[in-house]
Amino acid sequence: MYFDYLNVLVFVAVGLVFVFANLLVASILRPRRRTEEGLEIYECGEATIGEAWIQFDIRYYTVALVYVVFAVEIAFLFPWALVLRDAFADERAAAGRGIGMFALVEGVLFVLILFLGLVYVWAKGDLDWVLTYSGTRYQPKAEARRLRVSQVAEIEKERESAAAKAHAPAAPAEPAAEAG
Amino acid sequence: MPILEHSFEENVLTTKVDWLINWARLSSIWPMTFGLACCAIEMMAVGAAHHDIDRFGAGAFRASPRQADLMIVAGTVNFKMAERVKRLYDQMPSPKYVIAMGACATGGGPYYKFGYTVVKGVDRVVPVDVYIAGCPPRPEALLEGLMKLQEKIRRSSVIRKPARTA
Repeated sequence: MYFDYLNVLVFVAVGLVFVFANLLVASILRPRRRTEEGLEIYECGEATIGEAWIQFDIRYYTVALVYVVFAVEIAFLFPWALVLRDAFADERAAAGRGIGMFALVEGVLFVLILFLGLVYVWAKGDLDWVLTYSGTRYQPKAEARRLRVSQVAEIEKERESAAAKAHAPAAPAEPAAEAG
Repeated sequence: MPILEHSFEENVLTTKVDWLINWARLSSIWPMTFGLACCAIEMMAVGAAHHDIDRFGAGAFRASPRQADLMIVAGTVNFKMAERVKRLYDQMPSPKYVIAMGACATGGGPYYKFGYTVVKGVDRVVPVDVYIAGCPPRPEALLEGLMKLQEKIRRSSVIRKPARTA
């Protein structure tokens, strides 16, 4: 019976071998040309300000949590609101035997309980963005290296002057600078 | 320097291994999602169903240079963008290739004379493998450029010693 599970084991083993064999082959064959510029943080081509490993403000957490609670509440309330009219209609048709009024009260109670939570958070002051905070301001360790605009412009100028020199008839015979 | 790169004489085995590696590389040239100007519209057309760059294994436009093999410089490169282009090129892992698509990326194009903001060809910032003429080039032209690049990769030596050029 346990033999039936052997093909699962073989499946996992083949999968693992496939992954690590490829990683091994790639590590042997791939070019390894690491430069300081290449290892920079990717920020859509922009020079990054500081590092990627920053700590998010803890205050985001409270606000996000409260947000999630009310987002879920909305998700619950939409289907409730959609069927509420039908529930009342059914209750009228069945002469009082239904969940119309009960559903309304339950829904309002649900909203009220969560609203109480909001009042609590508000009164506690967790929604105030400016809290007293004693810590050091974040300082980026090093300014990212970058090719300055002026550098490109300088290269342009050099090339233009070299080209002008090459075309001028009176200039001494000097090969035009051809930088790769 | 990788363990095996350019470290063997040419013989049957190394030629075959090189063929295999080159085949793998040229069959999955993933371009970077990166368009600068109107040529990028033609590049998008190439990516869409009608021209379908995926036939050449180059349809997976990557949103990060870390996963990209090819930078299609599609459009006018001005000085402000040039440093970003350079940085993105630096952030791509080797082996990496660049296609200069259209007149602007090749040599400044219509901005050659009076375009004081325009770099006169992206090859002044990054090394270019294939130049494509046109303003903008037709999608077929970009496909041909890609095929030229594939030919170039097919000729390259990986574990063989590089061919001596006279």
